[in-house]
Amino acid sequence: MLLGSNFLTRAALWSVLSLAVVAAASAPVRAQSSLEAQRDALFDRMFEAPTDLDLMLGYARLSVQLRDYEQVVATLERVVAQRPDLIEARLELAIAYYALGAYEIAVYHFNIVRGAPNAPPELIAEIDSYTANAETRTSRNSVTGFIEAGPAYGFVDGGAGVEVGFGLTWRYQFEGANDLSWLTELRATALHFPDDDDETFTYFLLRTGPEFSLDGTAYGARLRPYLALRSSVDFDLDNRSTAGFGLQYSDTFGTDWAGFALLEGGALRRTDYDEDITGSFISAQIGATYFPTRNSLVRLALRARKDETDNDLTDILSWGGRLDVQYSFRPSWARSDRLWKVGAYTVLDWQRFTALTPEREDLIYGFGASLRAYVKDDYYVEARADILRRDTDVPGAATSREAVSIVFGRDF
Amino acid sequence: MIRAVSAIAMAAALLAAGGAVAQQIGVVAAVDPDMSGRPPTGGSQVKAPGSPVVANETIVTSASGRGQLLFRDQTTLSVSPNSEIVLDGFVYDPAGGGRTGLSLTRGALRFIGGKTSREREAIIRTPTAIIGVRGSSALISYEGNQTRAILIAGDRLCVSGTCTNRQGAIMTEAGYQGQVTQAQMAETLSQIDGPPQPGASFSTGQAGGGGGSGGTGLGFGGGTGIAEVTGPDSDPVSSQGALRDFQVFDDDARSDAIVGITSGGADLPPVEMLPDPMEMVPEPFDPAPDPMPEPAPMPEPMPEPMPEPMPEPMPEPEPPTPDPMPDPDPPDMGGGDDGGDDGGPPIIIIEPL
Repeated sequence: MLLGSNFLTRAALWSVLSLAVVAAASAPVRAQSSLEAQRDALFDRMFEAPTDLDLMLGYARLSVQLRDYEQVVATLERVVAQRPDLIEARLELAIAYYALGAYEIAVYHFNIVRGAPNAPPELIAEIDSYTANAETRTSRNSVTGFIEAGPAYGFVDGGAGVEVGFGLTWRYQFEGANDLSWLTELRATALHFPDDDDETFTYFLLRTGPEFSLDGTAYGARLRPYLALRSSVDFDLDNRSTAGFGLQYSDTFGTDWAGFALLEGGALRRTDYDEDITGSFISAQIGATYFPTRNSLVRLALRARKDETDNDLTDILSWGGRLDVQYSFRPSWARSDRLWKVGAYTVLDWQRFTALTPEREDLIYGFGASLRAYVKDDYYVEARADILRRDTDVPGAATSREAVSIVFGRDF
Repeated sequence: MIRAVSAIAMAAALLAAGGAVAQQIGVVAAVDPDMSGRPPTGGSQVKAPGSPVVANETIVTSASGRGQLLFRDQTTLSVSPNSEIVLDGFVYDPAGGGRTGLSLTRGALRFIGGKTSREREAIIRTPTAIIGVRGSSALISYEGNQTRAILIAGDRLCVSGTCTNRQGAIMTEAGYQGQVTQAQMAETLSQIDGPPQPGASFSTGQAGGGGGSGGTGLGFGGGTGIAEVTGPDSDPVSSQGALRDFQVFDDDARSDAIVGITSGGADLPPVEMLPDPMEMVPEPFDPAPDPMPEPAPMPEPMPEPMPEPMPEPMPEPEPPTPDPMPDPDPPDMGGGDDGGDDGGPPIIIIEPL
């Protein structure tokens, strides 16, 4: 029934997605090779004339494009040594160090720039933002988060509603030569439509565990074992809660790729049909992220999950994937120093209700997009749109959710 | 015979070493106010911007002198006053390979790695320690018979076998000494670079621009562009340009929760079981149905008579029907006649959104 058409649909969608990823990935690689050649040629000229400011500037610009900020720092150090009066060069040196995560040395240079006699107020405010963030990132205890709320509209049945969200991340860095920190995250999201409770949900996550390097390098393999509590509640009182143990793995491969994997399992409890259902779950995820530029990424994640419960209706095997594209930028006219973010995703998942006879099959697919604009300092407005559908071989049971929301929030 | 081969090999090695000694490995990029060099063959030379430096050359600064060196593999070295370094380990092959190494016999320096130290750990020797810098930049000093190294950026810094991957970590021969403070950093940088020039100011008409440093067209020839791609909330980048995907385990929670996908969010669509499969029939039934509705496909009655008379009158046999007729009222699920024991599957529907 559904399986045949689903298979073709999945194959077609994934083919398109794969081609898009390959096309997106190959173009920047070619451009990068060309930039490398240009930069090497410029270096040869700079080596012959090491005090030529124009050559140094050109070399640093190409290094920025190649995301080689260490060479940007090296070049600007030479500029500052030769022209200590160029306070603008020192400002860029501070930003370059900041980009490398060298926060103490960045703050040193930021403070010099801040003390310039004619430093404009906008720049001082931006420098204060940099130094405050640097202090947070270098402190042993840091708490960051966000809070947001705004109107939403559901196009299927929901009508007018509201979306609220809250997040908190607490990182404690242990003393020692190697980076070891304990990370605790709290997330809560609710989408509520007063006229249609069925389209409403609440999602809650508490995840905590240490994070450490596996190979002793700053950007190498990292592992994070964790405990996680999750709960999702529909307002018709169907809910699903899990308590699980998991492992997150992440690594970088060269300059443009990062990989990740996740394995989580634990106990499961549902409330459906006015009865409690208990069981267990195990989920896995593996994927890769490609960074075409400093501020853009393409991420593909493949995932699978199995729920086994004491109720046949909730024994589920699912697998599928998700593709994300994100880009950060800063409009020249923006009043905040924060980068704006535009993103889109598409999901494709297949679910089998394995204990039913015959088995039920669902196909879940859709896409979404968002744009976050920082209006002032840490305050932002974000527009979101989601169109998600569930096809099933149970007649009349297909569903869809189409919603837009505009939330106003603040990072802290 | 063996001796002859060994002698030839040694001669070849010496010739090669002699060639390397003469090879220019770098250039002086900045001097303030003076710096000198002592090549392996020849006397002391006053260095000026553009002066070549060769393999195994000794670079010396006075109590007031400092300078910067740029190497062919794009390594940059800043040398503090009262320093002496020997460039005894720089080998660079543009086609690939090479190594970076030097000896710091006194003073302080800033090492910003180039191409070779990204592929192979750079080695910096002091009289009391061997420092390995991998894909990295570091501040290194040798004073008072103690070696101190601070990891600025990169993958790893090792001092005499003890390593750190923490940026800002201070390492000595005794191991990890904690994170550098702002005061310590200022002191170290002032030692290497000198105190910042007082009174340096922004170029007239170009300071700041609209909204801070991003895209402001700073006086430095329009800038490098670093401010346009970096903000206070930007994630750090490795010295080799690698990025971590910090949101990878977060981003799917919201959308998955919305639709009820697995892994990361609310997983299951709300479902309920209908009491009877026939309830799936969308059209309501006639409240007063005909006693004998028009049968759907009815099997033909048996045409042949019974071969033998029955001893007792039997009731009229009912023709077989595909399914019992549904009750127009909602069925009683508590009774035994649930209509679901005929092997049919339980039917589930997704609640309407």
